[in-house]
Amino acid sequence: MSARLLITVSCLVSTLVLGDEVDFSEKILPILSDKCFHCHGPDEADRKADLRLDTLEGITADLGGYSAVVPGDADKSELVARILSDDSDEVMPPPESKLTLTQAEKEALRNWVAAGAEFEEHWSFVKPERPEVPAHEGAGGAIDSFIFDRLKEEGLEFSPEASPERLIRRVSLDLTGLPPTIEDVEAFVAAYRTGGDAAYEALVDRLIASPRYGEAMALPWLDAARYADTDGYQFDGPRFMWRWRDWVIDAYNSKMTFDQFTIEQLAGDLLPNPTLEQRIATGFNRNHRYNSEAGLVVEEFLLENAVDRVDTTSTLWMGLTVGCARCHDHKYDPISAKDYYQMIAFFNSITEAGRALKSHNSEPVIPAPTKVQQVELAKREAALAAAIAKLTPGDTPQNGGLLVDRKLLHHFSMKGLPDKNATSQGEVKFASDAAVFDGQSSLEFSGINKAATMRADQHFTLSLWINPSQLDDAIILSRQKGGTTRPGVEVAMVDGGKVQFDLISRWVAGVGRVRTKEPLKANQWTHLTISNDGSQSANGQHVFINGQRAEMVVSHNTNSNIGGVDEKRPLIVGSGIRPKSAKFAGMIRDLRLYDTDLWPEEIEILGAEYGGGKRKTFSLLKMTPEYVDYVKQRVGLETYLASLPTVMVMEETAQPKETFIRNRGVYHDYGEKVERAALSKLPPMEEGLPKNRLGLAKWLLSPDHPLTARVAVNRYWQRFFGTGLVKTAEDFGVRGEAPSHPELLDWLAVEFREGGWGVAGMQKRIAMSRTYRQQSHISPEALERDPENRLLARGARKRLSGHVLRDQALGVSGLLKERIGGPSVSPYQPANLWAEMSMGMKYKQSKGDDLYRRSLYTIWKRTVAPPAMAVFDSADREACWVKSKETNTPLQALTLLNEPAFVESARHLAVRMLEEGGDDPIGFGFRAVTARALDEKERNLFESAMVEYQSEFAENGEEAQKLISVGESPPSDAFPASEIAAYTALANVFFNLDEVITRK
Amino acid sequence: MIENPNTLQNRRSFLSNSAKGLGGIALSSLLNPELFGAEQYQQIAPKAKRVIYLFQSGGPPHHDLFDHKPHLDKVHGQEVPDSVFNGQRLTGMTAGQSSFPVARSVFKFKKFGEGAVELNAELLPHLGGIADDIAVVRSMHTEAINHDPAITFFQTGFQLAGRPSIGAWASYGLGSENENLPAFVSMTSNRGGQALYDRLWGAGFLPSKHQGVRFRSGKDPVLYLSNPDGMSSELRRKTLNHIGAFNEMHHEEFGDPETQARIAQYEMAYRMQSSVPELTDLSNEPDSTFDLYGEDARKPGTYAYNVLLARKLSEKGVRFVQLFHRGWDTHGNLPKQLKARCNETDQASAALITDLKRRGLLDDTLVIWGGEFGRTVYCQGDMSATSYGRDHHPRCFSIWMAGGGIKGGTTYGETDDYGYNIAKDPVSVHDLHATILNQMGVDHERLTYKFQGRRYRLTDVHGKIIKGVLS
Repeated sequence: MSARLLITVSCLVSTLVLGDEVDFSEKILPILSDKCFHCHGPDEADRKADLRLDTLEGITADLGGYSAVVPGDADKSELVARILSDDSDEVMPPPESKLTLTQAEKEALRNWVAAGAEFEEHWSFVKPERPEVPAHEGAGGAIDSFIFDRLKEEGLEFSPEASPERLIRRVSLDLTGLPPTIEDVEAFVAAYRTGGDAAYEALVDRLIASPRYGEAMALPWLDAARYADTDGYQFDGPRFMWRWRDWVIDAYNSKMTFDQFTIEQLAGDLLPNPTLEQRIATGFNRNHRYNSEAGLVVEEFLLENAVDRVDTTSTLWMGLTVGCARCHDHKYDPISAKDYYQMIAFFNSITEAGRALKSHNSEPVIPAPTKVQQVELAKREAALAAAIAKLTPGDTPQNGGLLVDRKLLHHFSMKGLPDKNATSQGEVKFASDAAVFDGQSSLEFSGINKAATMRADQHFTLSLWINPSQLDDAIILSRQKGGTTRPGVEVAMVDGGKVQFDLISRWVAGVGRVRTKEPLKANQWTHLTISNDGSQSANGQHVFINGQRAEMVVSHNTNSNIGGVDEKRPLIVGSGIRPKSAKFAGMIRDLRLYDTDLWPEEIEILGAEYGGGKRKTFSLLKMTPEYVDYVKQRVGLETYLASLPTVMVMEETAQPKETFIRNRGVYHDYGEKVERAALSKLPPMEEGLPKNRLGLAKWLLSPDHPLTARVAVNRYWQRFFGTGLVKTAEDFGVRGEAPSHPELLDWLAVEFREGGWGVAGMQKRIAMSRTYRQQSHISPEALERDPENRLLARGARKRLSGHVLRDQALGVSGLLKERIGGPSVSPYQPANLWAEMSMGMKYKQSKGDDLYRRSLYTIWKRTVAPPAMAVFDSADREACWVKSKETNTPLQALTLLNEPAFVESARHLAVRMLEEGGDDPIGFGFRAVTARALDEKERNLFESAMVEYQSEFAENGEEAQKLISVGESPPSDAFPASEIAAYTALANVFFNLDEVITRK
Repeated sequence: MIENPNTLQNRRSFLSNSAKGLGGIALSSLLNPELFGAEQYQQIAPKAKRVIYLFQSGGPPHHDLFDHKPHLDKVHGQEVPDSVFNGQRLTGMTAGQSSFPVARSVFKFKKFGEGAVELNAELLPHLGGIADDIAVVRSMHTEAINHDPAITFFQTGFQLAGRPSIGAWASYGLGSENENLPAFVSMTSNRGGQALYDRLWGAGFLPSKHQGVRFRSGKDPVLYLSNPDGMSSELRRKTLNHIGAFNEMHHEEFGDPETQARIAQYEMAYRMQSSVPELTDLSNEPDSTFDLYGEDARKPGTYAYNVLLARKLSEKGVRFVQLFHRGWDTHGNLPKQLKARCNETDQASAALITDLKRRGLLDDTLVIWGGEFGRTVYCQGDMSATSYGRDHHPRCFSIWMAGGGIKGGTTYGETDDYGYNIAKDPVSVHDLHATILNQMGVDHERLTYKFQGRRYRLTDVHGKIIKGVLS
């Protein structure tokens, strides 16, 4: 019985959606793509019998005296014969495919062939044209005319408008993610009574102008852009992208148009003279997961990063599942593997390492000061500039001393074996104020200052004079832990005297290795400095020759960890611990170790000739008070810069990387080389557009692009109605669902683009429509007729998201702390949830106000998502997600009933009911959560409930005290505990009412 | 063909039920709507009604547990020949090693039972005792070489996040057998190790209700199960009555079937508040239980406790129980680490089989034991007479299975003399998945879900049933 029921329902749905006409794109193409394209579609490599059914040429091709389709002649068409065949060797689809055609599908195909096999382009690949708005007396605006047109066809009518109370709750939740206050409701209801539409429009305008609007709109975009506060793989360490989140909120609040929104996020860095904000916007394409696992192969994850960018960009702007073409030509849509890797080529030339830092933002990274911090920064920069302007050498030279001694930890003159902390291995001689190594000997200095950790995140400098007697490979100096992983520093001569600087966190998985392009000279004194800027990047490891920064080649850049040595490790000069390494032969003098990466001007002095002018000038300058002030200013600025938030951004490599098709999608299996290009099925990029992400963004926005505007307006529609006009918001390809109202979709798309891409304007248009304002009551007939409400003969109902449910509870209880932007916060979470799963990473719960911020600021650890949100079908933020999921489970009930934030909100709402509810606290509380008044039956229910709760707590003061103390905020003592507890129980009930959980 | 037993038919079947009143039977079909789908998928006679998957995270070393290689004694300390490497990629951790010396296992092996299943005799004595009930597969291989992609591949059939886990597929395809408990439960034991992720028991693109419900040790075995401090169970019952009564009125006004569904979910939540603590309370277990599973089983959060709980959950009809035990990532000082892991797991794992058998449940309960990859024959890091380490190795490794139509006393598949490459009968992760589903009565090629325009399967476009281990 149940199976029969299902068939009835699905037929009903398809009739509703498809109508009665025989239409290729709505009726035939779905069958062909679903049942035939897997073997006879766009994928050339996998195509069976060399037959393709996705083009007219293909279906009518001569197959040796016969064709799959002879238009107009079903009996001569092999396709028809095959699908109708009873012979298991003949029938299509073949039994092993486990696909079958229904009788109706077979008939549809046969009729289509008999009627001439008309073949047309899939609807979404054809540029939308503005359709004529159907004229309907009194239907309202364009949206309503299109909707009504279809309703009339089906013999249906619009539902009446929702009550003003329900309307304001609905539109407030949709536009700001928060329910209206009681005052908002009262004001609107009064205004609507007299002002009607104008009052409603004023309400919509007010909501869109509210800063809460930007926060509400940002949330689905964070889901789509897979925003998170951690990296997503294995350890799933922290990252800091909240400045990008701030950017999104600000973009919506400042009513940025969609074209600008697109360009800045996809290519803000490529705009001429990009602003800081435009660079922050490109964090969009760095929000993907990023692996820091020790054993990974960099090449593999460089590809995965680019893949995620292409898949996300294609889903969000084109509604295409291009990812299918990663391994082979797309099975259903006309996207080849070559198309795919041509897209990859736009997104893979980034100055990224391929292995994420375990606990920090991974390069490319920029400092991203907030507006307030920018002011402070400018002030400090100006002060530094003023300090520099005052610098003049004084009269008194510094006598003796070490000249450059800022943050100097150790100085070894090497004029002789200095003290008890030095030992020599083999015979080290001392001559010409230097130590002389014979290739068999070395010096070890122990007692190194504990600040010198040699960690990848330590700022340090090593400086020395060196005079090699020959240029064979040898270690110059090293300070490392033993064992096979050898964390620490090694400086060596390689490849004929080039200087190699290894900063190792874990050999060989975590190594920063840089090498000079030019070799040292034998039998000649050279000054050598190596410095590390603490960024954990090989690009922050520098070598200076004679005080000048040397050109470097980076060969390893994988310091995800920080490594480091303990105090016991000696500094070895002339040798190291690398297996099979050679010792140094030659002279070394004046070895220094600094606990900072020295400024270039300081290194220049170190590398200057002894007794020369540079040193003399510096010794005169150094003693002046102005110089002391300058150092203070500069160090202060550096400290301030280091304290600023950073954000990961997009930044192009100097030259685009070569890109190859990867056979079967495997990172090291190279196929044909490809160049950047737009998808071949779509209109080409205009001449003159740069072949980079900026050009690509502009191409997406070009008037000829058939997808971008449709895909965007469909998502806005989905926000207001729960389901898009195209239900498969993520897939506009041939296997996606056809639009329920194609003309309306096209009209909105053209209107959106031609109207200048105004997002808020488009949303206002939808919110103002009669379609949107209908009441959502469902009659049994309507449920039977259109269970999914695709025709919109009634208002849409949606269960609120986990984010909105929590915000609503905090909002109506008065606990919500409304402050826009800033770092993520850590509200209540069950103990040890992270620690149990994440290699010891612990959740540090926030204190005070941060417990009550809006949920979009809640810290999102990808591999252990916030449980009270995850249980309500939130996107997991692992990858791009644009569809709304809605399930109904007992775990949701448990969360709303028992999660501390909901209980704490309930007890605060209870106090509000008692304080502000006058003689009707119950009615007050109910109005706060539903925006409407209780009817009599409801009032009776809750009043009798209240009697039960009061009697429960009257007898049990201790329990009452416990209940009104849930959460960190102090319990109220304004009323008896038993009274607050009883109202808390009622407020807890309120937060669990279907009417409160859903927006109707 | 049903691809997506979406809420449509549930709402409708509910409506027809609700007209007759909310009887217990109607309620249970509502809570487990996939019972409806089960007719569609369960096309093979099922051998296993339920699955317990004992996942050993980190990569247990096959050379030291299941795949005895006497040849290694002869070549111990020598370089692994290039002919054995055969171009295999190494992890970023050992790719830079200058030497790859063979490390033999320090442990003694023995053939157990009539099936002569050869196991580590020192560390797996309990497993040896039930060797005739298990099938060891020595020829598993995987595609991934690092933990995250490898474990994600094992649990979801794909290396990257986003796909449903095995248990979610089972829940989607077969539904639950118990109206008071979820169809799919996951548990992690309290020892640390490699990270675990929500996605390992996630629903991916399937409706979220199919995601595994995580059972934790402590006050709330299920998140937010307990009433807030100060709210008694009696008061909770009252509040639920009031919520239900209001929702009924609301349903009368709006006619939204989701409201009725919500009423039922609140009732199930209430039942879970008693059924779950009852189940996780082991205080009434007889001492004989702990003789069997070990004293560890008294301590919530241990592997042994979770295994015992898994048996109880299975007995109550939970379709898929997924356990995780960590700490098998033996890069260095393997013998010591391995001993500790086996101490924690051997007795309880074997006890589970014995217990299921005694209760007559083994025949229709499929048990799987294994990790995400194996380990290298060559030594990682320092090697001494008693200590060595092994890096990740995807090319071959061992797991075992029992019950649910598995032929006991079996050793399936062979590796080469170095335990480096598969010599005979390779088994892929997809093959294992196909076999698990097959034993549950599901054709892995027919259990599909349409998403992003594609019909997705747990086994993608792969998967062959491992016939050699079936009875």
